[in-house]
Amino acid sequence: MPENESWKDIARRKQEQRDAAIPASWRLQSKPGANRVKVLAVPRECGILTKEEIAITEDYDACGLLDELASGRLKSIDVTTAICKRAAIAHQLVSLTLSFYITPLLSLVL
Amino acid sequence: MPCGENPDLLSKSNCLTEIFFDSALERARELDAHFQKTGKPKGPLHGLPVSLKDSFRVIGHDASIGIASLCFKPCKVNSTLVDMLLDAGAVLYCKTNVPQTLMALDSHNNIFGRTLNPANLRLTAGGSSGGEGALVALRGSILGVGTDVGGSIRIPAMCNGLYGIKPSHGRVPYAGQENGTIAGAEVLGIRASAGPIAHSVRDCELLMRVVGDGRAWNWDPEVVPQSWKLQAPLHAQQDSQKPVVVGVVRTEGVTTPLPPIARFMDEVANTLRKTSSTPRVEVVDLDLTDLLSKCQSLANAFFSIDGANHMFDLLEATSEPLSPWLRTRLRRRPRADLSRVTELQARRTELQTAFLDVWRRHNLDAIVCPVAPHPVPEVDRWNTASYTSAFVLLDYAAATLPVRTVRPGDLKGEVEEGKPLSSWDKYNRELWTKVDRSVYLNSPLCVQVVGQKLMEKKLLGVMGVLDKVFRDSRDVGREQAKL
Repeated sequence: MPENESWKDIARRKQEQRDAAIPASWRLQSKPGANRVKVLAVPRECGILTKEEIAITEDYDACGLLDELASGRLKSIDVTTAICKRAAIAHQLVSLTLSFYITPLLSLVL
Repeated sequence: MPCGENPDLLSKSNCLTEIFFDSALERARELDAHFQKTGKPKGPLHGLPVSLKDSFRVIGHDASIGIASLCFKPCKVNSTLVDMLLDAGAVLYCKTNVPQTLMALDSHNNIFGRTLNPANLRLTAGGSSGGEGALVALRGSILGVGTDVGGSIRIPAMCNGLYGIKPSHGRVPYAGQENGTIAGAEVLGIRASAGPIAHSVRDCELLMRVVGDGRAWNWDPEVVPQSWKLQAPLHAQQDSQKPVVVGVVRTEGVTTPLPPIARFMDEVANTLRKTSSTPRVEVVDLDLTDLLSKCQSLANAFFSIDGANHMFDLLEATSEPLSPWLRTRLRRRPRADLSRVTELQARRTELQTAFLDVWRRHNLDAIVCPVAPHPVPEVDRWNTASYTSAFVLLDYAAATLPVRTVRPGDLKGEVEEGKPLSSWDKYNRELWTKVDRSVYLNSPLCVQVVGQKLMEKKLLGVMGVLDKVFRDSRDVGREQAKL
């Protein structure tokens, strides 16, 4: 870390490092509506997850997934891909919607 | 909208801090190859992705906990629990957001921004394991691991309608955590614990079982040598139909629960009393205000032993400002001296001893109480963790159990007239009187279920019983609504 790097520059570099780890094909193409406060369903609706990946991430708890993995009915690569994709979507969701959330308030101020 | 935040710096709010999808996918392929070759899973967590709070150390990645001066210093050693998860066959793929200093009930810091509640972006996702809470809620994680010293597993679990357990100290390995303290400091104060945040009771049990069977006492000197099998269950097999004795505690005597929470606790007590599920539940109404009212100030005194000096050193290294919520709440104070720490420890032992009388007298299996004296509040409006910190002070095993969500009928009722019990109580009332209550609609209503020290297996047994009662009563409610 460069000497005397400001906290803002560190923050920016850290965010870049983190965001570079999200594959382009896992980025949301469109934002949820401006007034939308509930985003739980977006991972299912956004089109990035396949039907199988939606099932993997929604139809099981951890014990259920482990049964499928231990029996060989599901492969770890499929489970891991599904979860990583969904985590990437989850991560962006809150980010996009927050910058949404502040816009109406800014327009009141300006 | 939280005031005082710079919109330019807000652009990256989120739940993830460290992302290692590539190595996760590689690991998944290795595990599949192993299974293909041997026909057997690598361990009890074979192939399962598990998310981690940012405070866990993972080799090659930061454990910055959202502090600038801790960034770009990748860890050279894993936390003990991380090694155990890997030995069990888990896939690690990310770490999640926390508040600056870890001592806040919202998850915001200058490096990664803020984590919001995906079920309602106006509400907090909780803290300090807020990133875990939001990620598990969105099912970007099926099993998450957080830590808790004042409520940091139980509060995000409540905010996101999830199950979470804060075990006692010495059950789940805590060695190798980054929590912004100097080595040895934690031993003088209150011990934090790591624990699960998940979608089911059995998933919480899964983590506790894997840890118990992993013989962590060979790696972390603080862990007691007791495998899962040897830990005491709720009932011995021959007593499996004995009623479960639950003490319902409605208030800790410093901050009175708001009307929706007070009514909810009555409803919980009635539901448990009337259940025809087996085993039956015997409900004892308990007034523990005499003892509980002493806990908050004592817990806070323990949290203040270092006077936040080490944390301020870390922040001032890059002239980092305090997070908005902390600006009015945290400042450098003199470190406590030895006689002060000794006095606090004596008071703590006294309280722990007095509490044992409650368990003995009523032959309790568990205590059920609120997680907080209010519903899930808006961002940065959580004020005190007294309902959760009490049980870390006492070193009990304590959990969050989701029951239902807030309905329009829950928004009725007014706070009692008369002077507030405390400044905390005054602030708490404003979460009802100075707010548009409709913001609470559909937010989770959860109970806290508390067991005795190191009795996590028994606590999980109680949680399983209560969870079934609540589910059965929801099903009955739905059936009746259809008629």
